[in-house]
Amino acid sequence: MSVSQSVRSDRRADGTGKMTPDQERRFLRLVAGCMDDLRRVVVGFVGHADDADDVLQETLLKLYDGFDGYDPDRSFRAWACTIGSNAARDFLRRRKLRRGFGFDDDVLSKLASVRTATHELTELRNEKFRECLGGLPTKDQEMVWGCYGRDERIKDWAAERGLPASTVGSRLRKIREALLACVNRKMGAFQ
Amino acid sequence: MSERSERAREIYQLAAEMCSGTLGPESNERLQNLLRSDVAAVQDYLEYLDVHAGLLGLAEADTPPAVGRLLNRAVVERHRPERAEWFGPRVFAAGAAAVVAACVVVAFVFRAEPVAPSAGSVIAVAAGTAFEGDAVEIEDVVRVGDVLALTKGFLSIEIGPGATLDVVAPAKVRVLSDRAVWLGRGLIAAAVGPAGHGFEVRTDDAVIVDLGTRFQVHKDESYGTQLRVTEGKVLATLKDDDGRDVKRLELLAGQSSRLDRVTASADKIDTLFDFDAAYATVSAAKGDVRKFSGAAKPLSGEIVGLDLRVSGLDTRGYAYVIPEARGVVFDEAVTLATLTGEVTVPAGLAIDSYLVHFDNEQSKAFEENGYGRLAFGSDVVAVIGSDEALAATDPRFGSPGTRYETRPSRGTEADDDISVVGDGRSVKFDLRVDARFRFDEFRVLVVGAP
Repeated sequence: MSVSQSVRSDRRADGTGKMTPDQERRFLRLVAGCMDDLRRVVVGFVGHADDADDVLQETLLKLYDGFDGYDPDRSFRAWACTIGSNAARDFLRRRKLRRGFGFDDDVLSKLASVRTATHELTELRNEKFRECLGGLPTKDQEMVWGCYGRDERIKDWAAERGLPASTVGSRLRKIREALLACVNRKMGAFQ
Repeated sequence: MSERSERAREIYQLAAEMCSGTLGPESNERLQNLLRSDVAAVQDYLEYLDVHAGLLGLAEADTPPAVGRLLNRAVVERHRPERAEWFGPRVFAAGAAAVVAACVVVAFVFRAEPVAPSAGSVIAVAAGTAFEGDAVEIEDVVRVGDVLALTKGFLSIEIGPGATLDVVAPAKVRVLSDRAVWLGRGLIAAAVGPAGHGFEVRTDDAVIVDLGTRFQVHKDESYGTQLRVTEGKVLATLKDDDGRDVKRLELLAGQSSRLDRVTASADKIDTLFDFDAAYATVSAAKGDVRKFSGAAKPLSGEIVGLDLRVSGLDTRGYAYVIPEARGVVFDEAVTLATLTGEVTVPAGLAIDSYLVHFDNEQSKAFEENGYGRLAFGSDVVAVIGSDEALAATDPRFGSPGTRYETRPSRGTEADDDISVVGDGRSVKFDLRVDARFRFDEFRVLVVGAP
């Protein structure tokens, strides 16, 4: 009943060996412990939820394949975020080639270096974000939980309540901006 | 409006387009120019996207099994011949993805072994639970045909629409469908909601059909099948060797029965099996926690007189959830220091307490954070995490005889993330530890029965 049986089968098929169940369990727990950070790094580059899902999946595969080489004396979080950052940058480069527009390498590098330099500040902002989230009206919290960031869910959520999807989408955006303003206010007070 | 805030507003607008996937070539160029202008612009941009990422993360479980499922999906994606984006703009991506997914499904039909349908999932595995054969982890999917064979401890599964089963060792259970299980030996306690009406527990002796209820079934070789109804009613049918109905009994709350195929007997009589004693430890260990996720685990066995000082009860990377005082009522309103500020508990409100205990000091597993989620059966009133507040609430909410840590750093720190989520009855936590100290505790107070 292993949760990643198919991954192990896949690795066997590739002839690249496999993790023992204990290794696999440890791996999944380490990844789960830094998913928030990983998601923040990836979303910081790609923005859209579906793109972020693609990059996160790609990152997980890279982490899984490279876990043998991971040095346990180093921070797993830092290792995972570096791989996530590289995967996101590769994703944007490939997409730029296909679409003909996108971020240039110097902009991607700048995003990566500011992200790294502001790590502690980001942690603090994240704490304030959670405080702000708790202060949202219940209805807004329910809407965020119900459908934030997923176009299909927004449609379903709106349909169930007899609302136009555009109204819900617009409300979610306002909530996001209100939260940002709240975090900024709290950070101002903090600083 | 200052130049800085005007620029920030423009960056937010463009970041919003990035989030919705509608950023066009011109906007992309403008955004790049702004990001090149100075570091503050990049910070504004990342701060906007961090809020977006935080909101996206709310709906994600971020538990090991959830990561495992994401990884499995990634493997399927890896084998896709082409990515949806090759087909053009995002508006066509859903259709293209459906075609690709259909191809993957067809390929699996011909190439892969059939996967048994899912019947439910594991929602609790007590600490120390041992298995005969495949071990089961929290949040594992339970499939039709799966056998759960426990030699020690207990687990809980959510099965079909609205049934929850506690399986208590030593026990062997086979999942027959999302509406039926077979009990080979041991004890099952079933709680079936309205949607699960008709849920069946089968044994070699009988078929027990839920008619909207809570009931317990015990099976052993010596005494056949013993049944006790604690709420609602059930229909129990004794079977013969050929599976034909021999006798039917309708049992109401408080009634019990013994059904034995060998002696062809089925009577509403007191059971020989002591259900109260056998189930007491499960009931005490779970309290009113309806669902455990991630690292959260109930204890199995005695939960009195615990030593919860550092290294007294090593949780080996898990977070043990320990029910404490129940039905605490204050004569006057009391103000508590919680993780989100002061909370006043009104006089007369009954409170149940749960301590979440994470102690990785002895096992020293590097960077094993404790993260997970708990769903309670009633509203969360307060979450207490500071050293001082924990110590101050030990006398009233702690368990008599339990030894609590008194040194500093017992509670949560700023980088630990604990929040009340969803409908106000769930608590999500991420206890971050480092190589210096791997110990954290917090206390959850929920509305209880007086």
